[in-house]
Amino acid sequence: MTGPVKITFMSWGGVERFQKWIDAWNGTWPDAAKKIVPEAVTGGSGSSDMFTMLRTAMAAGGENIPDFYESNATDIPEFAERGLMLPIDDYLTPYTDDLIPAAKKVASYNGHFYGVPMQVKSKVWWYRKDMFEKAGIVPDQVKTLDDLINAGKALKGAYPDAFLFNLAPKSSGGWLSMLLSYYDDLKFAERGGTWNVTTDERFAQMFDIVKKIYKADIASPVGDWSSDWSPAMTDSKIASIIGPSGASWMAEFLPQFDTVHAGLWGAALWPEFSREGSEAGGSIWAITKYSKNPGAAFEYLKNFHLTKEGALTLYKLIGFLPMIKSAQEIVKAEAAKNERPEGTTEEQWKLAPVNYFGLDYLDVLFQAQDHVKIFQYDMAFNNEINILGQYCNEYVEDKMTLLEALRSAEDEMKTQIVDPYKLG
Amino acid sequence: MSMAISAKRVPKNDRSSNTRARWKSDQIAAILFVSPFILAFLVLFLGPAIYALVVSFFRYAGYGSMTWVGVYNYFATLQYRLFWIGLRNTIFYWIAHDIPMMVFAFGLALIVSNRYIQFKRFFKPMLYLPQLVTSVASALIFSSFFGLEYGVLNTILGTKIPWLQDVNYTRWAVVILLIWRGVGYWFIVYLAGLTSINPEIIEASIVDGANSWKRLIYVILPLMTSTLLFAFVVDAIGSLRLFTEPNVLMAQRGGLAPYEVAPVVNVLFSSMGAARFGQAAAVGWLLFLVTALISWLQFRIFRNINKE
Repeated sequence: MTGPVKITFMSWGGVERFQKWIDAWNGTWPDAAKKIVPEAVTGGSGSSDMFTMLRTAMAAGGENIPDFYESNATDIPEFAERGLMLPIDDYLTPYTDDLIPAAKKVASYNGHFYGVPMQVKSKVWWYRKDMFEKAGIVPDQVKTLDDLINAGKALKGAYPDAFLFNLAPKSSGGWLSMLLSYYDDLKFAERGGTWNVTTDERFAQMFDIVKKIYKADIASPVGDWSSDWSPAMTDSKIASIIGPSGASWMAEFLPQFDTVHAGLWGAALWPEFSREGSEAGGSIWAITKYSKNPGAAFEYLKNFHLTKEGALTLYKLIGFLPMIKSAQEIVKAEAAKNERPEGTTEEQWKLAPVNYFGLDYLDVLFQAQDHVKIFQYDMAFNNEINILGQYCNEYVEDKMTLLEALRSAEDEMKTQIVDPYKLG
Repeated sequence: MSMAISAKRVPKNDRSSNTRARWKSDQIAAILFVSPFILAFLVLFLGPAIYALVVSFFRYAGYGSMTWVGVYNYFATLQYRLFWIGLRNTIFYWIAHDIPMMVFAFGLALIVSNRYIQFKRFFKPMLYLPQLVTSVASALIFSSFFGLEYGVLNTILGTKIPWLQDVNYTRWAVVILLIWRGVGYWFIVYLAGLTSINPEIIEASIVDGANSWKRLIYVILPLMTSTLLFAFVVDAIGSLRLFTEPNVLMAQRGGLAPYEVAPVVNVLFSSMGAARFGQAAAVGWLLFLVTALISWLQFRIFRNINKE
């Protein structure tokens, strides 16, 4: 007689982050919960800690590697190429007809599925409806970069002390990472070591966009996630969030940052000049090759992410949008009910995204998913974007010409990374 | 008395063999006492250090195969702009905080050690208190303190100094944080050093007519050179490994500090994060050489001062 199968999963942050998932598993699928017992393992405070931990565990023979772990799209290339991730085509293919296209993209690498899609990080422009209205800004009519700059000026006209959005000095990298995903087939380098930074003119275009944004004086110097960010929002000094934090997941954080203006924030698609793309693609649950129970791991993940019941559970639990088309209407209907859950105070309920942004925010989020494109990440992406950001900053501050900045970035990538398709 | 009697009764050969036996057992005891440290040193420090030296000549992701690249990792690191920017920042943080902090800590120790000062039991723990706050927590508190629009300092001063936005100010914010955290610790070290000075020497200098200044320059400081050497060397080693304070103070969205203000350890950290263990090892060894050089210089300077 065999007992229940124990499966372990790893992510960053405290394990309590995933305790509610385990509670939901036990509560929503009690029969399955008797057979499969999940256990959360923390991988450190951030994704980088977790990957260092996984690399060390691989070097030690893989004994302590969990059955599955959370992975950003940016980290898939290394661990797919180096054999940590199990291709799960056989498990996932029966569900692909129902998967939203963006979810398929985020879970794919080199023609295989390497995980169960967990979250798609689409581009969303969060804005203060009241401030935009007073300034005469209609987000849908902001299409080009010049439109965005004009909107910034219009906002200044209406609110002299406020800015259209915030962008800390020397933070080009964040914007560049959002812009990169806009372009089709853009790559830092080809397999074999030919670098594209100086030869592909789209890198120059991105540098120019970032420089123009900085020079337009429409952004507050307050940094994302800095101690000034939240007060600047509550004090109405920032009228919108666009840039590296202009992403779908901000729906979870914005109500915590600005508790004063519940109901006055709204969501819109990014301006057309960079509407397509994503913020680091999204995230997946990757089943490892070291898993002793890949079938049980998939069963657990399938319930949460590939069934209507699971999609509804995750929406109620943490506001995740479904990865399957068939659950979209159910989630919208659930949101439209607007029923305050038991144990939630009136104040907390005001900060629930459906009330904080208004019911129509969900439509925008679903639309944004249709515009998701995922950059072709390679194994050295984090290094590449750091180097690119540094030299873009030099260009923005007029310390280098465009050509000098691009050439310096490429030279540094050649010396420091050598070949982004080889690791080490 | 009884020992002397027993020594008389024991033949000379037996006595020497007893001494040898005792010497041997003392030696074994000594080795046993230090062996935990030696073992820990070999396993946790020397072994990994030698392994890191080997790894620094390879291209290695931390797992999988290793590819021999000779000195390329050293060459790449020395060519890396961020390594030099980080090293410059680290040396700046060290020097800019070290000198005022040591002067301040020593001054406080002198004041508190003075026999006329009251409430010593209050001052000692109060001055040491910042050391009890973890470096992450104190950096987080300081990030609110130095906020641009809503920071405590700017609100008090009625200014809008971009402490955490403009790198020219940001460096000083880190220095202030380092001084605030470090003063209490070195104050205690100096206080211990001062209390170990024989009061008779001080009294003799007073009798000889030395005023406070002369006592400090010609009596106290020379007697404190070994404490000062310890303080400067240890603080330099710690400062060259600086990581938490600038990164927590200036990190955005859980990342690291901007490269313009980042310490050199960030290069090691990001190399490891990018699975470039070979280069991370090379950075570590280069940093070790810099640390060794600076420590050697400090020893030389203090030796020359002692000679004079």
